[in-house]
Amino acid sequence: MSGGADDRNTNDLIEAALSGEERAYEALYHRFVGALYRLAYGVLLDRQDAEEVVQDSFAYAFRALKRFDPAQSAFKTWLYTITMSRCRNKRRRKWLPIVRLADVAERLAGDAPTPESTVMRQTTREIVLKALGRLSPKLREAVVLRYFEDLTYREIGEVLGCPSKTAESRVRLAHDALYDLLDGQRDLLVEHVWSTD
Amino acid sequence: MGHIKHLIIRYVDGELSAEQEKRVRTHLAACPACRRALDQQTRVSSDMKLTLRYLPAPGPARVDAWWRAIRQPTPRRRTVVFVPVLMSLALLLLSMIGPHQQAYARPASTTVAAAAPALNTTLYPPSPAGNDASPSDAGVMPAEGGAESRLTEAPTPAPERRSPDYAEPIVSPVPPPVQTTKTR
Repeated sequence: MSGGADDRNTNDLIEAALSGEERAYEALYHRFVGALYRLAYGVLLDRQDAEEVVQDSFAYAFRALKRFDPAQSAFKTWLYTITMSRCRNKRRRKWLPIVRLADVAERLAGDAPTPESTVMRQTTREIVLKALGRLSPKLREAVVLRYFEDLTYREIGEVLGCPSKTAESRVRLAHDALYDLLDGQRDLLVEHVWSTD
Repeated sequence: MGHIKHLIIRYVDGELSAEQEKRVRTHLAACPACRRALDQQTRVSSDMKLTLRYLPAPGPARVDAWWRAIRQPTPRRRTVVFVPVLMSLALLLLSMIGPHQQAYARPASTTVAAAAPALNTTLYPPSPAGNDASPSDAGVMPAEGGAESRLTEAPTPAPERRSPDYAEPIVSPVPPPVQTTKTR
């Protein structure tokens, strides 16, 4: 597999894909797969579910590619909209479990071993993901879209199907809730870092 | 100028215009509450960025496996092929079973229908007044004769309307109610 190292811009790739070039599909996939996975994982906090959502989203996007209109939105935003819709379906089918710190740590450890020097970052990540798991789905979606790739409020509104003011308000509410959730965890974080030394 | 909490996230993320940014800085210098809010938002923003941007990426082997799964023919296509085949098979089976069912059904119902008058005569002899209405026609059903009456009703056409000279049977076929005692 080539790995999708293709310098063409996204719209050229889309045109090439629509004309039947398989390599263009592959290049599009490789260009966005990482972002889609992180988005799905950030919202669902479950690796297996995120993997399924990514595959389903790409399969749908490639089938519906001729319906994508570059004048309406960026391809990235269109893909995120598809992904978010599938995340919601996934969430509807099963209640999200309460995320336990140990579970998150285990999942992250399963993805990539963490060097000791990054224990602080690792622990922060565990705590933040745990806090994210306690937000309502709407707030979580908004804040994940905001921070995993610096989407503007207009883009967040586009993906979530709401006005940009609503998106901004959800991010602000998520911020307040996260601050409360994280504030209580900061002492634990410091304790954890000291105890691992 | 009132509190500027609604602008703080944009300020932290560097999204304000130069003029707005200047106003926010001026306000922050004079407002401890908004400075606290700024501190909170900065910490949350930094934690969120640190976490979400460094989420573990899927390994190349998994990415390749997903790609193969995505580009495989979808189950829907297979369904499109199989649905008509399954429907034809189902229709064929139905057409084979249908006549047999009728063949079985007719004699059975005929037998029951033929046996029914005899059964009724035995159980409910004609009244001396010559009323030949069966108990079911009279609208009075034996308490334990439900099964037979259902069987006799099934193959017969809709019951005729009662004639004006219809008479109730003299001897009621309803057995006396059985006294039951409730046990706890």
